Amino acid sequence: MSVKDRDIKELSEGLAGEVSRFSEAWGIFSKNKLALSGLAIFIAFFMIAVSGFFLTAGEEPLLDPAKVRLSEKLLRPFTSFDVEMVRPEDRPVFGIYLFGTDDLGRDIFARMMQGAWVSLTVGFVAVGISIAIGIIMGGIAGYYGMYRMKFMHLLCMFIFLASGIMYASAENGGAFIMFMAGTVCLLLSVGYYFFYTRRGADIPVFRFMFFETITADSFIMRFVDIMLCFPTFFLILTVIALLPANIYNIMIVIGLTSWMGTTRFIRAEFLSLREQDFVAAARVMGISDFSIIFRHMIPNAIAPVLVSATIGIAGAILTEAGLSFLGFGVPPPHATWGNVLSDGKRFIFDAPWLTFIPGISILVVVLSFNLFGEGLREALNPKLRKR
Amino acid sequence: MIGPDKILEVKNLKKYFPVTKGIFSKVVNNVKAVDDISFYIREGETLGLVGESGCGKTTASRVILALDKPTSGNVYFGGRDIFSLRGEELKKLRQEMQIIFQDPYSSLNPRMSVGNIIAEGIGAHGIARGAQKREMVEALLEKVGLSGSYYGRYPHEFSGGQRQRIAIARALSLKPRLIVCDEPVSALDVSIQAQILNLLSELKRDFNLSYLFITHDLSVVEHVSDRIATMYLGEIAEVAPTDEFYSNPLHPYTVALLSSSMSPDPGRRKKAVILKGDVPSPLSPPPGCRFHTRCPVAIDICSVKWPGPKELANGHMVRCHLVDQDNPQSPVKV
Repeated sequence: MSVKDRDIKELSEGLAGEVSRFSEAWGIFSKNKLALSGLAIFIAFFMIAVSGFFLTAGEEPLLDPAKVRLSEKLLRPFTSFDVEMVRPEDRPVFGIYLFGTDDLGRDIFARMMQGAWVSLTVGFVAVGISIAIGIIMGGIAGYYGMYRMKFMHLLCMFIFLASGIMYASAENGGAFIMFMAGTVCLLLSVGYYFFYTRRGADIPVFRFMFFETITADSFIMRFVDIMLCFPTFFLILTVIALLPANIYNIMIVIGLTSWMGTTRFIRAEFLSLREQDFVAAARVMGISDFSIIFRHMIPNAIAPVLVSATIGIAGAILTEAGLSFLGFGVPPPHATWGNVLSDGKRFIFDAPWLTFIPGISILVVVLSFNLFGEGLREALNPKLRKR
Repeated sequence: MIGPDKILEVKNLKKYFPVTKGIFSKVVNNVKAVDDISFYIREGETLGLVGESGCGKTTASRVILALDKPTSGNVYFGGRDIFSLRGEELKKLRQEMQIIFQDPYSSLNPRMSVGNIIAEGIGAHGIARGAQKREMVEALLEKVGLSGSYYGRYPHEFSGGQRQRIAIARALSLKPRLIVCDEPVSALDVSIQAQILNLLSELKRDFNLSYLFITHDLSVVEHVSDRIATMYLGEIAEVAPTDEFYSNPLHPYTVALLSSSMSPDPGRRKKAVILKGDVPSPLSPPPGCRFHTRCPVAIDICSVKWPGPKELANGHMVRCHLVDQDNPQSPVKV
């Protein structure tokens, strides 16, 4: 096959050096100085938050954010402690109060370190939840969107939802009855469906269960529209008022109220990807839907989601700080940037560092995430690249 | 080697896309993309399918590959009705028919390496795994004229022609018997077109493949096909063996198509038959013969009665009222 040997030679010569997509994107990203500094601050913040968690946790933490020293109230940053008044075990680690103390003589540096971990976890967990929901909902709407939902689907969903609401409002008996009713309904429809398709049985009474309603796509996307109608912050406030205030509930609630953007992104990407030839080629090869979604579609759809996630982390941190500032966030002994800021606002003229230190920290971290996200968008989206 | 067995038989295939209106999605009309087509492909044969843009060529190919559900009709592959197959049986069938797409830029997943793209089907069907799979992929890459060392490269590093070779390697990876080529060369440079066409005919010889070769390029289809079918507005107007198709085209549409294509030989140049008007909308195809609105020789019956297929000698089929079954002569004189 001389023709082929010649072809191989010619074609090999025409091939440019190996450039991976990552190094290409990094090349664009690293030219953007703002985004690069955003990334640097992000990494620094990450390390500070992780070390903050280890330094402030446990029975005898190195930095104790809750240690009250009533003699050491409202000290400026970089002041050292009073040797006469402070017991040896209450002394700050560095010998000075790096960020000063608050009205109870608590070390603001220790409180900020503890708060950094709260901000980091709230940001990542809340966004993680919202992305997980967003990918599932958007994936269903984009890939299986044209299927029409049967009446039984809506019925089961409605009954389970009612059971969930009753459980949340402590109507345990009613919730249990509803849950059982939903399960019976689900089993009935699954069983009937099985007999209907496999055995050809047809019971006219149950035919209404198969009445086709709206498509899965419009069901999910109209639900997204409804969710977007609520002013998110007030929705969170309402839910927090009903639930016991702790950090996990806040993460979950922020996550549950911020998945709509991701859903729309993923749906839009899936709609365009499912018409692409490489997806059709995969289907012709008999690749399963699961593989098509996870190997072909999600890797191609993830870039805009990654960008919105980065910016979403900034939003979640800000929301948490806002909630804590209003006193609805993490309960008091635990420090967060929001409640440090909130506690300090009474002394803004006497001790401005109590407001400025958490305020500027929130500003810098949120700004760095936004800049990083913008840089990522530019690097991952070829259409925005400058020539 | 063209065997006597029909590998693919399409019978009265229809594909309508409903046009819906209102919140209850009431069907108000249908886009008749493919309207009652029938043809067959024999083992080892290449059937060229020509027609202008929007005539339903690609829709037909998607339905034949069971990517879309037909409105009605049957497709038999190796004697089995493909629309009755489910699950594992359908997956097995998919091994035997593959597709090569027109645009080599969208037919390869940009996030997967060339090796993974070709190996995916091999893995999914459990043909080979591990080192053996890699060996198969490298052999396939060399078979289509690329180097086996491209295994870890990504599609964006390749040119259009090279990408099309990768797509061909992917189609071959499952050892299919039929490959649907959906305009495989129309996105490529002319010099690359020749390379790809030669590669395709070489592979056909080596693997005893059958092709359904969809194109709108008459010079390409003459080069590769054993028989040629013309499609117009969702319908097959004429099917004929290649020699007969070029020497004695019968349907006025085929004649017009052929006269519009360029020939490098001045002696072959003839006066072009220029068609007037546009292709009617497939939403409301004209009654009677689909082509009568643009036909230069249409008579009264053409706009009333739908012409049934006329089977002539040596596998020539035509849908035209004006062709005499016993003495086939084209009604259009060029």
